[in-house]
Amino acid sequence: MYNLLQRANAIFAFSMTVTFGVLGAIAIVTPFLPSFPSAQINVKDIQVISYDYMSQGESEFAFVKLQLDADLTSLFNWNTKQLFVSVVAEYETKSHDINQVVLWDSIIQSKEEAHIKVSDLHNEYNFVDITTSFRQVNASYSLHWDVMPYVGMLINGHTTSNQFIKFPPRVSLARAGVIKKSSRFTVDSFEGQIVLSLDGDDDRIDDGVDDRIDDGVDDRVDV
Amino acid sequence: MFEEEIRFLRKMSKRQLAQQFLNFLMIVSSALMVWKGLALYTNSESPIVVVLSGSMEPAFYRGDLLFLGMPDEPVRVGDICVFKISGRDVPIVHRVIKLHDERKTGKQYILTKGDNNQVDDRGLYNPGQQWIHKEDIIGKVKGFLPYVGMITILMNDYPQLKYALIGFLGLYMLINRE
Repeated sequence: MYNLLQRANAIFAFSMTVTFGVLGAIAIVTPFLPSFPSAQINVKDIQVISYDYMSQGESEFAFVKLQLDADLTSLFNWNTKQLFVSVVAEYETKSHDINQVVLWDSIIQSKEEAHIKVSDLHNEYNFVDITTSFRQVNASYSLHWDVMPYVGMLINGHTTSNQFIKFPPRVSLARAGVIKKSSRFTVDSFEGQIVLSLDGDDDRIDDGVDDRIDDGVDDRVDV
Repeated sequence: MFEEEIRFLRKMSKRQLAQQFLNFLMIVSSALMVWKGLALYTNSESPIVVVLSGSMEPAFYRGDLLFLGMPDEPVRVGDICVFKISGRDVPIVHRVIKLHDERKTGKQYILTKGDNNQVDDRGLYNPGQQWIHKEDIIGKVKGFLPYVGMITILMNDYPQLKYALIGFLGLYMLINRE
């Protein structure tokens, strides 16, 4: 123990051991910290409309408007880096017994942001089934959260909901007041922004003309 | 600095050299046993992975280490899964955003998306592929250690570093008297 290299080696090995010991202790303690999150979701409106969708053909899309009230501040402790919250719709169909669709998600990075109050939450992602029709299912909506620590295990939880809301029957686009009866639409397959584009017309070209509806209003539907 | 060690090497008989080599092999094989044992315990073919892209920021950054497990229970929405698209080698770490379980067969139809991406992963899947299934998933992320995986990324980006490290370790093992 009298050589510089040997001393450096000893210091390095010891510091590695201590570091991993501390990190391990943090990882083990974190799941035992108390937390009492709460959330409430109220369904305000559901609309079901059919569009042409990828290779599936004419499929039913649900547009949901929810009210979300949540208090997830207790999930924030000294080892919490961020929270990932999502609103999930769950339902059962004849062919598929478990269907879970994320409608909306958000990343919460501080305790202050953990009071979530959204009074008109629209689904961010396409709410469409793997079959072409929902057949007026009953769906329940719950809030899921994922606690991401600085070090350690990922912990997730969710609210349970025994409130099942039945889907209304599907309406045509014309009835929903979106377009003139004769038009045909396709939906971009990307989950993200729901973009409708008319067959043959590209309304994304910014030439000032709304190629879609003949009413003088540019209403690129951004549901 | 190395005169002692070089003198020692010259004095070593064939038997001692063979013994040193055997020691080296023992160390390598015990490391391999630990790794494979961990893979068996977590039921995942690759229980520790390094995050390679920024598509899950701000949760995971490039260079973070992820601990995986692959429990028998089915995948559920919100799980962060590491999966491989069939035909490709690169594992992807993304979150499940849609799930449809077929009643008769129990087959799971899964759609994933990176937190930091605007669109879902259909652009990444094979052409015409709309879902992935449980077979494509290597593991679910259970634990997380920041920054530690940077070494792997550096070694991939600068292969000279990898060779230098291996060469140095090999040399150290041979001239080490213990």
